[in-house]
Amino acid sequence: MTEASHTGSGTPDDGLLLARLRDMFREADPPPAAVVELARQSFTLRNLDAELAALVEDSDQAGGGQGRHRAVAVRGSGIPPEPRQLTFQFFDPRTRDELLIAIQVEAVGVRRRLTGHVAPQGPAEIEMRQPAVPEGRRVEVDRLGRFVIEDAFPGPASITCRREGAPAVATQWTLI
Amino acid sequence: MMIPEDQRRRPPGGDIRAEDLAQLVGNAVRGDQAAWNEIVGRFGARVWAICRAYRLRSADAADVFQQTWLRVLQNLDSVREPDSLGAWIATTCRHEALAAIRRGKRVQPVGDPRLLDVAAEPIEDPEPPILVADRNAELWQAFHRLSERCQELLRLLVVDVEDGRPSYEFAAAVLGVPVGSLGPTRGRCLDRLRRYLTEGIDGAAGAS
Repeated sequence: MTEASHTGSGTPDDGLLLARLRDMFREADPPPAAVVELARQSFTLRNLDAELAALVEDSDQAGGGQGRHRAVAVRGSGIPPEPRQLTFQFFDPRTRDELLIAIQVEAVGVRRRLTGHVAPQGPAEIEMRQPAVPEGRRVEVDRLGRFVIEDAFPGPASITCRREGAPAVATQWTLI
Repeated sequence: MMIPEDQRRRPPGGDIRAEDLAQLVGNAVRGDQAAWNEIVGRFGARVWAICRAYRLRSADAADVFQQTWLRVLQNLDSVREPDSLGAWIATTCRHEALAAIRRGKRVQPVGDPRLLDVAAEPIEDPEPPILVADRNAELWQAFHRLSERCQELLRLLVVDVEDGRPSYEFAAAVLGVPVGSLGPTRGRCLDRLRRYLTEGIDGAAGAS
């Protein structure tokens, strides 16, 4: 019997058995109806007029490949672990318009506190959208371009930054 | 213009799968909720299967599922090849699942040490689910006699299929092994599974 290469399909029997396994998992573990319904409803969260700011840095992904079982932070050390740092970047090569949004994410109780900074500085309105809060939450940045959002929900989040005379910019959806 | 679902024309025979993916994507981009629902309906099971194959527990799988669909929605207007929509959605899900695994779903508490994550637990309920088909129940029993490694590998290979081929690269990345080792390992795992299936039948036949 020939050894199956990693790109080969193995024996026909292998194929049949794998297909049976696929059917079994489909029957045993289908997506919950409520979860699928939420995905349908997320259609209302689309942002028609905003440019996309991509996630370019995520401190939680630094040194990726550490394996599936990350060490849990040491209890009782008295020193809180580093908060998570996210950086989003929008750049339009035509207009040279660039926007950086840096966000620090901390857990406070079961919610999240987002401490953000927009560069370059200037007046801007921040709107945070989440599936849990479809109507969005809005704050203004201060004169240094900073903002804080308390009591965000864990889960997907997108921040839209609106500036006078510039296109709205929405961050790539990110799990916080 | 939003087309109510009950007024959408369906191809003869009611087979919605015959509908052009390009048309679905285009309609969804133009604001058609029904087109979006169809896309979610068509690929939702596969996305869920990928989340679970990466050993995310229900709550985390639900988060990655939502996150995947939101990213798909956000990028829908830049889909270049609608025919590869399924593959692109699956790639997005794998990326998000891997990110969740690397993140270890860490929580950095401010003030409440009780919120620190606990170590990963097995994702499957020890009780077998209610399986309608007897052959699936047999297969379930046999499958769960396999080593953790075999179970993990086979699940990754079966549910995460792109254009009819499992994504060995992603499976290798999740398992932390060389891609070339997967074929032989898969073969051995399947041989063992076949043996357990046969033993199960023999055992049942002999138990009288």
